[in-house]
Amino acid sequence: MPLIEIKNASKGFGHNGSKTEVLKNINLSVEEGEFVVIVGYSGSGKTTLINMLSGLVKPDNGEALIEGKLITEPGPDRGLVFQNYSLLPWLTVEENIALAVDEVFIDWTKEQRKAHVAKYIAMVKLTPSAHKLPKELSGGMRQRVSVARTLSMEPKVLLMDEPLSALDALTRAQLQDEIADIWLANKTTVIWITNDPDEAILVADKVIPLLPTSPATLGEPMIVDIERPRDRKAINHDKRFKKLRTQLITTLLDAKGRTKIKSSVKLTLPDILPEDLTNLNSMEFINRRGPKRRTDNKREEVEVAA
Amino acid sequence: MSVPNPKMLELDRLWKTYDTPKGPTTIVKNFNLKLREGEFATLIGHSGCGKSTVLMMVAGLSDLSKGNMILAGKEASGPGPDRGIVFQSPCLLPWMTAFENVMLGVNQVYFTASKAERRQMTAYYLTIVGLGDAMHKYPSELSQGMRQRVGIARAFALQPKMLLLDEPFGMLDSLTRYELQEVLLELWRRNRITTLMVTHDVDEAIFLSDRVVMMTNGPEAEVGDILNIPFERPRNRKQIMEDPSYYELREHLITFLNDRSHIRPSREPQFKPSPDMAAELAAHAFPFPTAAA
Repeated sequence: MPLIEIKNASKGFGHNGSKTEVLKNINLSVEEGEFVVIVGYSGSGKTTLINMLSGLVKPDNGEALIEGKLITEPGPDRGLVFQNYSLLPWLTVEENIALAVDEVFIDWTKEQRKAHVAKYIAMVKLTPSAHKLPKELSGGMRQRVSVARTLSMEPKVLLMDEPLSALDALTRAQLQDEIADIWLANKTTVIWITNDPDEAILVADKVIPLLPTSPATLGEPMIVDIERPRDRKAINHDKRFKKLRTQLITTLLDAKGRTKIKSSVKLTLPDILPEDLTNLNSMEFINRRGPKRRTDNKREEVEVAA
Repeated sequence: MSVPNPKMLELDRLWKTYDTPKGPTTIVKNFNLKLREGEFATLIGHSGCGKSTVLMMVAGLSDLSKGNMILAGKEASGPGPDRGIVFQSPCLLPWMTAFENVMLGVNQVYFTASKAERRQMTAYYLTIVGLGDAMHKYPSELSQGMRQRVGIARAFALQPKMLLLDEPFGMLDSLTRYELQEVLLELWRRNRITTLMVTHDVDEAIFLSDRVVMMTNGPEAEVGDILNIPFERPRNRKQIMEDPSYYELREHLITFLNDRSHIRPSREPQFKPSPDMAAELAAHAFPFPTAAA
């Protein structure tokens, strides 16, 4: 039995008259220990999809299940990492994580919980900053706290909604590697949402494109059978990586191309050329009456040739 | 435009030096480059290597410390409408609609044309970049990708002699970036303006340009290597990505950048310069710089 699945779900927003369908015919099933990445354009319904799994959004039709049970509300069995970190600004790194741990492991002793918090802070390499406030941390460090907080609840599934999209390219690369390493160490089931095809192939076991048809649907899953740990430099030379990359990017671009409405507006480019603003003193434009035109230019060229 | 000018832009031994309390620092050293009319060239390198400095010198927004710059046969200095620029963020005026933002420049350079023609010009370019039904919206009502489309339309509408692109898609997510690259190529197919683009995205450089100029790390950055991109135009991303030489070109560029990586430099440099660089050196009329120069 798959750990978490969506069966024939669809979702739309708005009232009866002006309802927009966002997702349709969504079927997703994820086995325990799998690392699945869903790639799609911004605005195509990726967040709605992950919210169905987290229980923040209910599908209009169909159902979302975890271990065969219907998902009706958020719970600690599904940990969610947001793009904007969502840390409490008045609590330190340690307190932010302790908040989750204290809530989930109520029957543990204080020492047990403290050790548990420390373990996860160490896992994301933030031990030296454990007593800092979020405002004293960089974006990358804040996202690490957020990942540690979510992992510390020991969720059955880790749901990540564009976790690295707000970070610069270098920090992003570093965190991709770190999260992949953490996953290798404890093999929590991960569903990760992104808009970066390279990121998807680098970290995932299975990449699923979210096709921007309207409403959006999931495409064919692609299996990434490249051994781990993956080296981001070496992988560029890997034949399987190149093939998957081409396949994924063209699938997404083709789907976008099909949805484009071909407009039939007649356009005319006026036959005018820019004036030389650096040489206005010549007053050359006064004698000409009207703009410079391409056709005038052609006449000039003929004279030069003769 | 029957015979393209082989020397649309000539950069001859450009230097950029800044004075610091510890004495002058050279950012760019002996930078040579020639662009044909209608050529699309890309400058690639790590952040901080001085690629934007070179572009800003060509734009006239930054003075040359040494060297000469000749644009279409004339020495160029200071910024002007003959060089259109697209920045990383589109820099639109927030109190004007997309249409008015483009009109601003169009009114300046086509002041002898009729108002109807000027409006037609603006509408033409905004429609081609895909904003046909959004051209009367304000920047705040547009997404980041749409704003950048306005920026591109604005640059093309002025029909500049040269187009300068400073990481124009750097702030966009990868999929929007792919879309906008197609928009840029579509405009460029209609009007092949000589273009110099700065980027650090290897795929973008290969897909868009005729020639990729690799810069060494700063300070004292210079041209490290030059690679010709042989794909025919109009280009189709799918065809290019399936072409066996695509990944060869990509690896060439990635190896160049990896050898100069700031984070985890490889112990052994693995990069071998391309034969295009040797051809470029031979083509330069002036003696190419030596270490003493």
